[in-house]
Order: sequence, then C-alpha cells, then structure tokens
Amino acid sequence: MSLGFIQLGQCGNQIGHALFDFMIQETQMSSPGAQALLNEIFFFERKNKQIAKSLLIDMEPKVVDRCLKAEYYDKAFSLTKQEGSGNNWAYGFNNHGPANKNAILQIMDSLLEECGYLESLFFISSLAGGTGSGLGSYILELMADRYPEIELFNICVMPHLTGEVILQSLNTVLTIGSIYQHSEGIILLQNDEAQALCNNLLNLKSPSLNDINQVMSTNLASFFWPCLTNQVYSTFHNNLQYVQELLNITNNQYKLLQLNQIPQLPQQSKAFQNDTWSALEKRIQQMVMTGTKEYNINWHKKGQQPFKQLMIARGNDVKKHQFNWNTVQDEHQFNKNEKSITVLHNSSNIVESLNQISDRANQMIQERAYLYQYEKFGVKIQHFQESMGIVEGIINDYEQLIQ
Amino acid sequence: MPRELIFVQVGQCGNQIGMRFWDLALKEHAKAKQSLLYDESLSSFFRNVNSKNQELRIGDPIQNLKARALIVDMEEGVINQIMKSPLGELFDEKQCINDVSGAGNNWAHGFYHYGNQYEKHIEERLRKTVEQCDSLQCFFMTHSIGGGTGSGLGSRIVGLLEDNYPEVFRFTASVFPSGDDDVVTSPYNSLFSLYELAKHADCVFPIDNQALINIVDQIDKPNKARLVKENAHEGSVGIKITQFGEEEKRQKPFDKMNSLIAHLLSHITCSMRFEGALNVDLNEITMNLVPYPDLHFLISSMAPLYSLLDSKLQPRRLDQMFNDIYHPDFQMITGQPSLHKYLAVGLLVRGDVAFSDVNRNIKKLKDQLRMIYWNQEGFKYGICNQPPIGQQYSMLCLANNTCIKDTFQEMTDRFQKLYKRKVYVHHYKQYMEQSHFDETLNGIQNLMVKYQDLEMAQPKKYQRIQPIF
Repeated sequence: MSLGFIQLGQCGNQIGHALFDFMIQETQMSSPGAQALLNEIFFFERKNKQIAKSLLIDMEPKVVDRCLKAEYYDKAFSLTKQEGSGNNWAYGFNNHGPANKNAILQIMDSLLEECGYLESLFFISSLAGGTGSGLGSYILELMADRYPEIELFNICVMPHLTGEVILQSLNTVLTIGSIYQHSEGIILLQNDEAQALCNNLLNLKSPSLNDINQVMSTNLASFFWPCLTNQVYSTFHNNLQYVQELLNITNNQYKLLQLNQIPQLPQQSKAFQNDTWSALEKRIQQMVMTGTKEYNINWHKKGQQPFKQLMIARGNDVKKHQFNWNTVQDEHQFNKNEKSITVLHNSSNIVESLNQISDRANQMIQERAYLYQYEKFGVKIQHFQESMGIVEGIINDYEQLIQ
Repeated sequence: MPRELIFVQVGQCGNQIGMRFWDLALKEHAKAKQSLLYDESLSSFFRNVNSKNQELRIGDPIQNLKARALIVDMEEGVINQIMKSPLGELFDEKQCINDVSGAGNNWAHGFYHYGNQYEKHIEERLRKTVEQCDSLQCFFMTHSIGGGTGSGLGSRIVGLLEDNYPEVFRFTASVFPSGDDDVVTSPYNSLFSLYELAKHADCVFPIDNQALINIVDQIDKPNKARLVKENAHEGSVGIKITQFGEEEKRQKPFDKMNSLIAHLLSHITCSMRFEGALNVDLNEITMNLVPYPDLHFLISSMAPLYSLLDSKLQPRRLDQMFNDIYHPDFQMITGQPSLHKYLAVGLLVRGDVAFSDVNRNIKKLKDQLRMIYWNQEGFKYGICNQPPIGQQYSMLCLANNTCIKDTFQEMTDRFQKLYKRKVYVHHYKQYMEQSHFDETLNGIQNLMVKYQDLEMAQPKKYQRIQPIF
C-alpha cells in the first residue's frame, strides 16, 4: 500500500502539514505494527530520513517555506513561485498550470522514483482560492492523463458560507466543474463545521486558524490511520484497504464524501469518557442520517440512510462488540480516545450547502460581476455556464436520493 | 526570490507622504527581525548594495539599503530636503527626477508640458528600477490630485506605467482636496486626475485632508488620562505613544497626517512581507474588491487609532475594533458608506487575532451593512501575524462602496462652478484643447452613473442553469 499527497496552495499545505504532524505524534502512542505500516504507506526513506510521500506546491513561498522546516519534508519535492494566484481560478488554471507543467511532472517523477509506486494520490486544497482550486484542477487533469493507473482523490476545504473570500462561490463552481470527471472521490471538509466543533465541543471559544486546521487534520487522520487487529509482530496487515474502500462508496454519479468522527472531546475530558460502543454507533448513525453534528444531533427526525458509507471503529476492545454496520476495526486508541468511530459517507445532506453556493455563483454570473478578471485569463462566460451545469447535475442527482 | 514593490512619489504631497512611509518601513523591518541580514521581506521595498554600488543578494549582511522608488518633483524644495535628511541615504540621485520651477498648480502644465518633456527620462529610470527586481508585484504611487505636479505629472505617469508594464498592478494613494482647499484651481486639477485614475489605475485609495485631521484630533483628544496610565508601565509617563510610534512633540504639522497614510501603505503590503495565517496579496485585493474594472476606488479605514498597551487581548476591545471600523470617524476619506451600498469589503487584520474572532464579528455586522444583493457575503479577510509598530493588533478595512459617487459629485459641482464661467480655463488652454474639459466631465458622469445603478439595484430572481447530464 502506498498513498501519495499533493498539498496545494496555502490551505492545502497548512492542512497537509498538520496531518503529517499529527500522524507522527500519534506514533508515540501506537504499536510498532502501526508505526511500521504508517512508514510503509505514507513515508519513504531518503538520505537516512523518513520523508513524507507528498508534493508541496504553492504559487507564493511563505507557507511552503514554513512546512519545509519539518524533518519529514524535502525541498526536492516542492515547487513555489513568487506571485500567488490572486484568488483567481483562471490565473491558476490557465497561467500557472501550463507555465509550471514541466516542473510539476519532474517532481512527480522524482517522487515516484523514490517511492517505487503510488496506488493513489490525494489532492489537498481549498475551494475558495486561486492556487489550490485553479492550479489544483489543472494538475488533476495532468495527472489523470500522465498516470492513468494512479487513482486520484480530492480533499477539498469549503470556506465559511458567511464569506471569507468574495470569489469563493465562483471558484468553487469552476473547481467542481473541472475535477468531477477525473476525481474518483471528493472528501469535503467545511470550515463552518470545524469551527462549530471547536466552539461547541472542544472548549475553544475563539479558535485560531491553526486550531481549525488541527481539528480538520485530526479528523482526516482518523480515516488515514492504519487499522490493525491481531497484531503479530511479524505480519502487519492493514484492515483498511483505502483505495478499494473509497471506490466502493463512490461511483460515476456520486462522488462527494463527508467525514464525521466522534467523540470530539477536549483533551482534559478524555479520561472521563465512558461511552459504550452501542451508544457511539447510534450517535454517529443518527448524525449521518440527519446531517447533524455531535453537538446538535436531531433525535426526532428519522433521517435518510446514506447512499454509501465506510465506518471505522478504533479502540482496544473493538473486537468484543458486534457492530450493526460493516465496520473496519482497529485496536488502537486513536487520539487518546478510549473508543472512537469515524464514518466517511456519501449522502444527500450535502445538497443544502451546494445549493447555496450555486445560487450565489449564479447571481454573480448573471450580474457579470468579477467576470472580467477571469476573462483576462481565458475563462469566459461559457466556461462558467458549463461548470454551473455540471454542479446543477450533481445537485439534481443527490436530490433524487432524498425520499 | 522576493516580490517587490516600486514606489513612485510625485509632487510635494506625494514626497512628504513618501518620507513618512520610508521612516515607518525601516522601523517596522527593524522590529520584525533583529538580525542584520538582508532578507526576503526587506527586499520587497529595498535593495542592498555595497560601497561600489553592486547589488548584494538575500542572506548577505545589510550594507546600504536603497529604496525601490522614484522621486519626482518639478520644484526643488522638497527633494532637497529629502536628500539632506538622514533618509536621503536611501536614495541615489539617479532615482530623482526633478526640475526647478514647479507646475504652478496647473494640471495641464504637469501632464502635458512636463509630461512630454520628461517622458523618455521617466521611462528610462523606470526601466532601470524594474530591472533591479526579480518579480515585480506592483507600482504604488503617492500624490495629491489638487495641485499641479502630483496631479498632472502623476496622472501622466500612471498612464505610462500602464503602457509600459500592463501586467504590473498600479495602486495609488491619492490625496483628494477637502472642501475648503486653498488652491483655487484644485477643482479642475482633481477632476482631470480622477479621470486619468479611473482609466489607468488598478486600484485607488482616496484620502482627504479633512478626514485625516479628524482622525488626528481623535487621537489627541483626552482619554489622555487612560493613555498616560497605560503608558506608565512603559516607564515614560506623559509621553504618548501614538499610532505613529514616535514621540508626539517632535512631529511637524502635516507629519501626523502623512504618518496615517504611511500606516495605510504599510498595512496594505504587510501580507506580502510577513507571515500570516491567511495571507492576502495585492493581487487578491484587486481581484476580490473590484467587481467591475472601472469601479476601483476603495474607502479605507483603520482601527484602533490609539495604542493598546495591555498584553492580553480583551475580547471586548477586539470587538470594539470591529465596530469602530465602520464608523465614519475612522475613515481616511469623508463619506457616509453606511447610507449607501457596499459592493465588497476587505478586512486585513494584523497581529494576534484569531480567525474565528474575525468570522464571528463579520457575522454580527453583516446585518447592519447594506451589501449589494448579489454579494451578501462579500467579505474578504486576511490575517498577518506581524502587528504594526506600537500596537498589539490593528485592522484595515477597504470598502468598495457606492458613497464614493457623492465625493465625485461634489468634485464635479466644484468643477462646474468654475467652468461655467470659464474661470482660469485659459491657463489650461496653453497646454491642451478645451474639449478635454468636456470629455472629462462626461467620463466622470458615466462613472457616477455606474455607481448609481449599482446603488439602486434591486434583487432579481434568476433562473438557475439547467443541469448537464
């Protein structure tokens, strides 16, 4: 098993960095088996150091420079420029893309050479900006073309719906319109949700961006962390076949995935956790079916079964419990939680956010606001209309699932 | 490989602002990094040369810093002052373009006469300055638009920049005349300049003296008792550390006002130079805040205006800062944005402020602001870790608001008052055709109509696009 990452733009690099940081820290509390697996899956050896299987790409230098201070990143697998993308998808896609094509392929080739092979690539970026979204879309196409045998997935961060970047709806629509055909699955993380988790469950009244990034990357790690049962020191078998499982829960029409992990607790409270597996199961299932979060679970609504889901249960007595749903099991106590469950689900409750984004993008497009900025770099109104058409198609498909 | 800015200071006002700016920039960089090495953030504004005037690279020790700037003035007084002052070492004569007799507060004299005379010279100096940059981001011009040089020659230069370097952003901090301006021809000069800025600049930050005086007054007003108490543990009782970061009594009259503008310039460029959780580059500012190419006039306001010496951030004060920023008292140009429509708002925060605090406050304020219907969530925010001198944190708000058309209307009215009776027109006709007057009036009229249309825009229900299967 070998998984690679491409960290794109400010958000992508901050989240990727936090993800690797967390996983490395977590190895201090895990079994040698898990550590060995982690190294095999996510790292390779170079000049006597364990280097993350990750490309760091940004069109301005500051964030990547910060990441490169870590032991597990190597400058040889990074690419930065000076000017940024100005939150302009078109600039990222039509300008930075072709200009950096060779450099990107070159670092990708180097990475492949060093790690032997990659089963899949996970693109981490935000949807709101210019580099992660625009250049990211270009690179996805490039990789789909050049390396058809590698399965491509996206991890996309949605900005606060109350506004963070004025062009976020336009950039989001263009990105989804572009990546949907090449990506096998798109995990959507939301700033709104991460912040609400901080406020309501983690005792952080004023979370910084760093706090929010940590919450997101910890939740991501709860999916990526290897799953081991029956740990025999000589044979380590990961119960979680990442790519296969992801391909099981997506198809050509339905590719949007959401991530829920419980319990969300501040570190001080973890010692007092006394949930049973049944209670956790029920909670997370209700959350998934009603599209609510751990702090506002709606127990009254019947909810809707997700189209597909992947459930991972982690805790040292996980094998003793009979789970109601198909579960991948891991005996590790993840993030000091005695018991925890992660669900990656493909369901229609994403429709509400998508509708909002589509509405706003539509309004701006009709008013021709900001469009001149995109036109300057080759994205004309037809491109917007096509992307909107694709997004509307996705919304339509998911709405069909709602009974 | 740094990302550079080139400053173009034109005319008396432009150069005086420039001097405050360079003073502040040096202080900021000195505070940010204690080492004596020439680093990337310094290279945005400065070159580093040795005694033989050869360029040194990033990572070398600082020897002689030279500002990336062009100093333009058609009379000698201010430039001489600059070169004689300690800051004069930042410039060599090759960066100065000057003449002796001035432009007589006549826009056409500045634009046509000096413009024609010095065009080639300016282009050549520009080329040399641009060549010294690895990755030029933008030009930043400081000038006033009511006089002759800053306004006339300044306008000419903006056009030149567009012709020669269309890819590089052109930002201007332009000082608009106040109602009681003492230059009689300023209505003509300012409208002519405004027209050129509307055509050739990417982004204009209008500033007027009256608003600046207002802000300076507020800083000087007592709440002195509280400020003295706060300053007490700094060991300097009675000497106020203001927004300007230096002792008040040593400052000359316009210095404080110019320092405010210096702070504005520093704030706009801080994300380029220093790290932050959420960087906002200059190109992101234009991209997010200018929905239609002509409508690129941004109203700036800054808060807080006085130094906060408490080491802990108190949420109440932080929230207060968010409230203050929308109050006309904190604006750098007179106007009533709350009575008009916001097209887009940029909030750039410096210092130790949490992302969620910004988000929370925006949610609260959103309902009080009249945003245009298709941009209800029209907020762009940025966080830079490096606070400004003398403060724990501060915030800059850049608003694209239709109230600017009122400012334009007043300027047009003052113009018309003179033009109706053809007062002073003959001074301008020495250098240009009278049709220019009418062309300018037309141009500004069109601009105002665009703003008016957006102000009156009612929400429309649009059909969503049909899905593609």
